[in-house]
Amino acid sequence: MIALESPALWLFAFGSGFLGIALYWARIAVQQGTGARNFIDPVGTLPSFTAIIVISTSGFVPFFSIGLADGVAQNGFAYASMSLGCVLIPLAGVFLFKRIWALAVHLNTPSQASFLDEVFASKSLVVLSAVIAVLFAVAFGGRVMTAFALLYHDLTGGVFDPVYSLFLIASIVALIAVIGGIRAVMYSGAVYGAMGFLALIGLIGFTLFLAGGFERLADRIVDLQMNGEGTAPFFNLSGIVQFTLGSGFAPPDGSPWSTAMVLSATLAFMGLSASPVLYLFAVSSKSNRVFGPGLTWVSAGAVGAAIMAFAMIVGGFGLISNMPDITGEVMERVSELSPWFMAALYFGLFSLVFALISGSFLAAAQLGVVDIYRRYYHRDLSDKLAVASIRILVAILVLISVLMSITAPFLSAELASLCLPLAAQLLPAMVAACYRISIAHRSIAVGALIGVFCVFVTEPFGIRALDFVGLELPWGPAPWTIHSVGWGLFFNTGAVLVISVITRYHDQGERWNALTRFLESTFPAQPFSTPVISTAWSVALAWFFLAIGPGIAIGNSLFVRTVGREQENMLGLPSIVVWIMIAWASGVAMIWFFADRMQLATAHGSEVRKGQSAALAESGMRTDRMAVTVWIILGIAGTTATLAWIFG
Amino acid sequence: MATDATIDRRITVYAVWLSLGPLGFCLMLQGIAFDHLLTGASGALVLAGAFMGHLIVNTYFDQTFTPGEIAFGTAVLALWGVLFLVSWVSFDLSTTDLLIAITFVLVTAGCVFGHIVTRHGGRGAFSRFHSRQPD
Repeated sequence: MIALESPALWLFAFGSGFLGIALYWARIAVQQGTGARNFIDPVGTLPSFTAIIVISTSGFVPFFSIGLADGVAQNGFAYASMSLGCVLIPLAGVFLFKRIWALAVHLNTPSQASFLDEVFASKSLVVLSAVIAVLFAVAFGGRVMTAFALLYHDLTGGVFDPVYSLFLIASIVALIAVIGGIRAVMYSGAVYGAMGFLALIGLIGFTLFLAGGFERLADRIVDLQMNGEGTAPFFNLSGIVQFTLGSGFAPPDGSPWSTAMVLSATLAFMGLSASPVLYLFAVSSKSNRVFGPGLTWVSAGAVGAAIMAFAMIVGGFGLISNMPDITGEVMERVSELSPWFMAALYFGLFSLVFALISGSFLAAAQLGVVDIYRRYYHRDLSDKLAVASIRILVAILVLISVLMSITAPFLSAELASLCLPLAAQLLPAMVAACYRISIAHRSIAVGALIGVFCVFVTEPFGIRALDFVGLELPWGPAPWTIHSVGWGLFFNTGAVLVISVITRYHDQGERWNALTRFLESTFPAQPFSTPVISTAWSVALAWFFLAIGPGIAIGNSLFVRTVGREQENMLGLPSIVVWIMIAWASGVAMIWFFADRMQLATAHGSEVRKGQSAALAESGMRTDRMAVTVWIILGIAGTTATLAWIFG
Repeated sequence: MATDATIDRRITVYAVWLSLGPLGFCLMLQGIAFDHLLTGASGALVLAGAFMGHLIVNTYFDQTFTPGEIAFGTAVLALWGVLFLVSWVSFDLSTTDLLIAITFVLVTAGCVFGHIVTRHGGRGAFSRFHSRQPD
């Protein structure tokens, strides 16, 4: 019986089962064909429900990456407002996915880079999309895999070395992507989705068991709120905005979680829906009919509820128990009581992140080989050779990710924190592509680059990089308690609007006009009455203001009443917790309104016929272009080294 | 090569078993480890729930169990039976452990019987096992 109580044994058993089933689905994917069409070009071919499950479960990954529950345990419930990102991810999807899908099928663009190239004819956007894809794979993927590897190491009681554990996790991720391509990733992600969701519920349930039930947990939280010394920042947002120069210069009073920080930081989650990997998942769906109900009830509803509970219950328990690493602590407690349940929970949670991480590596390799190498340097590259190159590149990227996580974990974490803010800078481009709003389409690339620059100079990585070459910025990360996404999106949209106003009467070009006509004919304008449209916009603005904007400060004290000289919570929970829960519920209702009533994510248009990719005008290996690219890269590297040598 | 409908059904079947299977299995183990009948029996019921989920999926896709599924299910039950017999003979199993095992057997038998009866009807179910000898 001693052996049966060994966590390592159960982790090994469940891990083998996980890998075996994933390999089975990789085999199924291979049986369906190993050509480029099956391996990496899934446009409109995979079961719609798999796309919805994978997209919805992927929504959990950023919250795992930022350590949502651990963050609440360390910073209090002001940090829990980040969980409202679970509304913003599907909200962005509701606005984008239906039309992106139609355009991708029409243009036959399996990757985001090719999509942006077809729509905007901008090489800058292609490079930006490629950089984001690589960052998602190498840094973001590395960070999540490292977290799981460290947990694996802890749960096995140190039997497995962290480095060995990381290689183990990475090899599972790589193997499925390399063997079966996008089909294997989507199939595995779908079959594991429900398991992952149940595992998350199980983790929350076990936390409640440890806390002695919900009522006892709530009582202890309220007790900490009322009687704890110096705990006010845990239960209150620190004002609207704080004009400090960012962390590292002048720390904000109380906590950095002002409403400006909440608004700007939660906007980053919308970046996931504009990322190359979610583009890949969304366009793989056979139909765009599923996005409305799927994003509303599965993504925002079910997964959103689980994320909220994860933040409030697991994070709240960590806060009252003074356990900053609460997720790991709960898993270790489960392991002591029931190693088999712990192993099931571990691989359940892993299955939630598996598809996004594996898909990120594929998306990056696809961009590198098909959209950059084949498109610009080697147009004769056969499909067979392209698939082989993608497989090799996935393996290389996974190896780089692992090595970077081992040798430079700090750098890896800083790069990972760039992913969502940078992806969010593609939002104006995606919105412009989908809605053909009257802006100068050439302003999109300029705006995106300005946004990227603003993100770079307000993120720790960018500030450190500039410091390396001798340029010391007079501010730190998140100046004025505004997250880098806020700065980036503000200047990004500002630049787009200003340039559009200046050049608005210029002809947009035949390509742009043709796509506009396609969208207008596919999705004819709905005969909504003006009050419905104005109600929709009012609802959205009110939600943004009250749920994640300055209005969230009302939540600090709205559900508190004064009895004599004492204050007490009206609903038995801290006011901010109740406010965030209401914000989530109203957010789901808002998504339903936009998706279903406004028909932004329900198919009402005509059938979309699959188009052919634009014919390649040139052929052969373009060594001249390669030479130019190499010289540019060498020039940038040389300039950086010189600046660092002189000023750094 | 599997058709699209087959793939859809297979993904759904896997999703059902991968979510409820480990839960039921872990609950049964927990019941045995902690000598707690209710926990162990609830594990058996969760596995029965997964079986019913499989039946619903079959009905939705208008298909029945594949030979591979029948073979796999039979093999798992046989393995479980062998493990139980070996444990019974080799170790001093408690009454609760025995009751959990019996609950599992009864639930499994009930599921199989229920499936055959609902699919083939009372007389038809009997005919699946009984064949009249030619006169």
